[in-house]
Amino acid sequence: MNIYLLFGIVLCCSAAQAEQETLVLVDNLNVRETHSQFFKSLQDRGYTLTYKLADDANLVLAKYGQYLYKNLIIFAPSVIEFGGQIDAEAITKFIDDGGNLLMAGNSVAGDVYREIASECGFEMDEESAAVIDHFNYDANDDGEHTRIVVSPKNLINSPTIVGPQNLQPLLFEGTGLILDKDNNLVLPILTADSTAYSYNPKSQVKEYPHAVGRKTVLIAALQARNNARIVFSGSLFFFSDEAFNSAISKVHGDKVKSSKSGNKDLAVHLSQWAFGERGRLRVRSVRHHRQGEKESTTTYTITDTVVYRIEIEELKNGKWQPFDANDVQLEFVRIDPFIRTTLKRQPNGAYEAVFKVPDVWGVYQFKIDYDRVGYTRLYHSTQVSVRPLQHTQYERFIPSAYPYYVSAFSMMVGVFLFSFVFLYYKEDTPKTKSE
Amino acid sequence: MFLKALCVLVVCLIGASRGNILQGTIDTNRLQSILQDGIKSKDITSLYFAIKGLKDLKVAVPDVCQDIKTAKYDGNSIEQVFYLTNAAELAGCQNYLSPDVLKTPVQVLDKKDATIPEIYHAVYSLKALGKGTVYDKEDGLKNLIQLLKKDDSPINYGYVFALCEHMGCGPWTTTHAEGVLQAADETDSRALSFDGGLPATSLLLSTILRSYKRQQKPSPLTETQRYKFAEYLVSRRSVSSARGAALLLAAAAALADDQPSPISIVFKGKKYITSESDSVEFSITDLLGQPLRNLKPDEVVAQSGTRLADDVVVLSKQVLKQKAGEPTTFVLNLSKIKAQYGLYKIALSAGSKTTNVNVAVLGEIQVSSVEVGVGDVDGTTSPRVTTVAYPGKLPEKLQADHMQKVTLKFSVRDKYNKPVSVAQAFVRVGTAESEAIFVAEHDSSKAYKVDLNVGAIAKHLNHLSGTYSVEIYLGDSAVSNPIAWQLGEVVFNFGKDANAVGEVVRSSSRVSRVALPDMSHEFRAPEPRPPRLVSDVFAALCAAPLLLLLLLWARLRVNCGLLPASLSALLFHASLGASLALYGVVWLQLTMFSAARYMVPLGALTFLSGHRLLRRLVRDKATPR
Amino acid sequence: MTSLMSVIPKLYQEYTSKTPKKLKIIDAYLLYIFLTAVIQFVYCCLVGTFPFNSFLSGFISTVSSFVLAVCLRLQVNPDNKNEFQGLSAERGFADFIFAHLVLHIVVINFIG
Repeated sequence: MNIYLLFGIVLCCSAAQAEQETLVLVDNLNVRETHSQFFKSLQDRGYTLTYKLADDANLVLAKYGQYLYKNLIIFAPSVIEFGGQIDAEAITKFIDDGGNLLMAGNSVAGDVYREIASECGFEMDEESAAVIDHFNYDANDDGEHTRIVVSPKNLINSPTIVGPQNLQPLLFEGTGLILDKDNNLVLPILTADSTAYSYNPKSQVKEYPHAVGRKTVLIAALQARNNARIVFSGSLFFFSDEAFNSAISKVHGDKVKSSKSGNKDLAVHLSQWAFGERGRLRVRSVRHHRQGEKESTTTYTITDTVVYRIEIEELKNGKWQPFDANDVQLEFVRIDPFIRTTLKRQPNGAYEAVFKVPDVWGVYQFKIDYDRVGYTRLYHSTQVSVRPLQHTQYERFIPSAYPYYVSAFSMMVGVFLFSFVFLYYKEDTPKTKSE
Repeated sequence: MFLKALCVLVVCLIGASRGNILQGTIDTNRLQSILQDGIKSKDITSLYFAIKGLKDLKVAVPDVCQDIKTAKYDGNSIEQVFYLTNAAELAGCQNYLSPDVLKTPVQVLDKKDATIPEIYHAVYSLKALGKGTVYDKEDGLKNLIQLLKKDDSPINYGYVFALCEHMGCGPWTTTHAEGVLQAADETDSRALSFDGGLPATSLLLSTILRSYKRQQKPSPLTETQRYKFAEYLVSRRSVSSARGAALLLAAAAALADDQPSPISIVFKGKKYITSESDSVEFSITDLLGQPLRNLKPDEVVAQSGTRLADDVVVLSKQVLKQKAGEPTTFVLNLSKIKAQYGLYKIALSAGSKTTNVNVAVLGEIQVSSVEVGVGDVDGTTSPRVTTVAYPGKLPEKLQADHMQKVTLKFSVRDKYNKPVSVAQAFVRVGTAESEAIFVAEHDSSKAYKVDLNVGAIAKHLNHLSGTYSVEIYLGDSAVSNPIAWQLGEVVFNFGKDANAVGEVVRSSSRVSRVALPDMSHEFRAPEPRPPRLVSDVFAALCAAPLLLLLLLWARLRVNCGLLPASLSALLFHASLGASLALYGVVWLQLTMFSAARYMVPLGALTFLSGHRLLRRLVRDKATPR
Repeated sequence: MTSLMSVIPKLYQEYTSKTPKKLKIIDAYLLYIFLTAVIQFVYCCLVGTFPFNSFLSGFISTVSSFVLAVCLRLQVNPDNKNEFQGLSAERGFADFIFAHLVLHIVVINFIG
């Protein structure tokens, strides 16, 4: 018994450990030092970072079909080809199997980067192209206007991903990303201003730039259908100690000045989201029953009043806590939804809907499909059947039908009386004759 | 090319080329503030490094003896003991330590299998407490060499060199140092560092250079190595812990002290200057931002200046002026070339070292006016042209439909009214939510033109007809005043397949990430019912014919004359009545199955009695009385 | 028209004098059923078919009763004696009662 318990605890621990296993691929081990604050924030949160050179010939992601890491950080823009068993395909498979990826490039990033980006639904601008903004560059820019100052207003409106408060301007230096408009799994986390464009800063704009204005995405994210998360930044500099510590002073426009950039806060928040520390939902329990009853049932009668109750939990600071939202919707579906209603938040952390079952019978599903930006997709469906009224359940003794009732019974009385009259009627003619 | 046309007013320096001169220094003020934060730490490691760093900076160390006394440490960890004892020694408060701390170092030295770092920490712990002579020179070195054979990592060499300083085996250090230096790792062929990062690099550089200096030997570092190590240290300047700061400081101080010190040339202040100040300032220092000892002011010379566009030499051998009172600041006056736009390469030399810096001479641009024309796509009618002067706005909202095009024509001029071209000449058409940006193209006469074919741009704007604002963006990396000109508003009408602005355009994909509109089921409306009175009246009416029947029968004077006084007659009518009554009960209670129990015997009874009754009636008829 | 007017009283006279009393009893019964049916129908036309099952069973109840009574009348009529050779009026009545019992149980179940 004790041994089993111990074994269980060990298993739990190793599972928790695996959540935090992170492989960091770098160009050179110097990155470990130039980006030390970012890595330190990860280590402080309990991640085990394994640094490897991106072209290390012994790189492996999985051993015996088991992944060694849950998260992958690629900070190696100058890599031409990954070493060992890692390539774009292996990384795609890693994501397909639920691994998280944080990747940062720059304007010299090579084709491997482009390949991985396009697998994830982003397009990275051509090699040597950088995001240029002649209107919003930092005073420390070295003349090509590529070290741009981005207002936190350009962040995606999703506190789950970018944190609740981003007030400091952000420093960015790198290449632009382009997102496919029709792919709504990809999210533009940070976009450039209207005045920005992505082009080779050393040549004149001759062709239409690949990314112009607000379509230039600086940091993009993807939450795959299996809830694996990918954050792709066009700038490795964004995560560096230098960017974290730099003071900001914009040369033109509103001349924004700030003693510290907002990069650190955002980078930390992004990593928290990417590695699943935030924005994870799960269903704790689901109950449904007729109003006024306690027992759950799988069969309802048309026009029954149903109470549906679901408890949803969110991972917050490593603990599953009741999820708080006001836009969780329940659908009651028979091929198409018949009813869609917003669930009401109950004080004890549950969501509840009370509704009347449609007067159309068939096989239905209670369906919760909560898919919001920044959260894992929450899907839950319960099948129930809805049947018509039993013959005893129809309305009876309706006043409008009284004439028919009366007629029917009148017929019965009529035949009863008739049976006497018909059988025993005695022709009295002979009697009168005799009289 | 485009720069040729730029008006010259502002001089800006674009990133210096990759010479071997450093382009950064280590900010000692920043490190000092980190160290001063570190000294408040309760952690003995931070405390030690903070004290050490501050001592290196020759800054007064506050009295920390109480802190050292109360600092938490692990008495069994030789490293912790080392930090404790050395911190105490540096702060001059050995008396505050309990004698117990000696135990661990002594044990370590007695151990057979002590590693090099352990020996180093133990020896220096003891030394800090004034018990320095325990480690014997001859045997000690032999032992250490044996240990090095097992693990010859750079940091171990560093510890051995440091022990040698203590034991007086400096010559051994000098014979082995060059080999170790050869083993340093190179990053991007720019920087050199030792495996083990900053701690190893710092330890090795400081011990090696100190040993050489003590033996009055010339530095073992070649000039390239010196610059590459310096480059590495500069790349690590953003350290944030007291430990990192102290290590960086020690290494940088050692390197800066090693003559000839690596030279760093950094722009001082802003990177561009205006017509009011047509000179650039450089600060020329050593690695730590200190004045260079061997540099004479007249050795800082701009050797040559070349315009990159046409390789015309614009200046040569111009001596930079040292700024009064600031020995590290040198001023390069560029008033000679400020009127000549273009990219320049300036070879700047400080002493024997030369580096190239790229200098761009930039200018202000201006745009006088823009012609906005609205005309038919096929050009059958001459377009209606409105001219707007900068920074004015269109006097009214322009209207354009899908059969028309809007043409914007403008020219960008420099300060001397000469047309120029810029990298970014974009026209933005958009609302707060969506935007489309078009690139203006210029012809040979540098007149910019954008044709907005309304029918064709519809797809960039989601086919949403409505009011759009039009802005012109003019910018260039060589322009000091990028222009964003809000031109005004245009109403686009995209024709019949258009949607109105603000209408939500449904994306083709099914996945939705927002709350969908609620929907409810439309229940069948209940059938209309007549008023109660009507149905009651009709119920009575339906019963009325029964009375009529009785009335008619009465008029016919029906009788029951043939009723036989027999049991069967009684039974028959009773059972018939009962059957009908049972039906009534069934109707009231809907208990068909329980009713069936009574129905079967009743039916049988009705049948039998009916049969008997009828037979009798027939018989009676046949035999009239 | 006038001929029709003159025919009706004659027809009535003929009926009252020539028709056996037993048939008159049945005819009164038939009239009663017919009137009930008509009233129901009028009611239904007036207020709509709801509840339709009740209307159907009530109406069918009358219609069927009417049909059964007509059948009985045919069998009892002495004029038709030749057609129902060997089938007595009592036999016809037995069938009549049996049919009614079946009819009403159906009606009761359907009337709601």
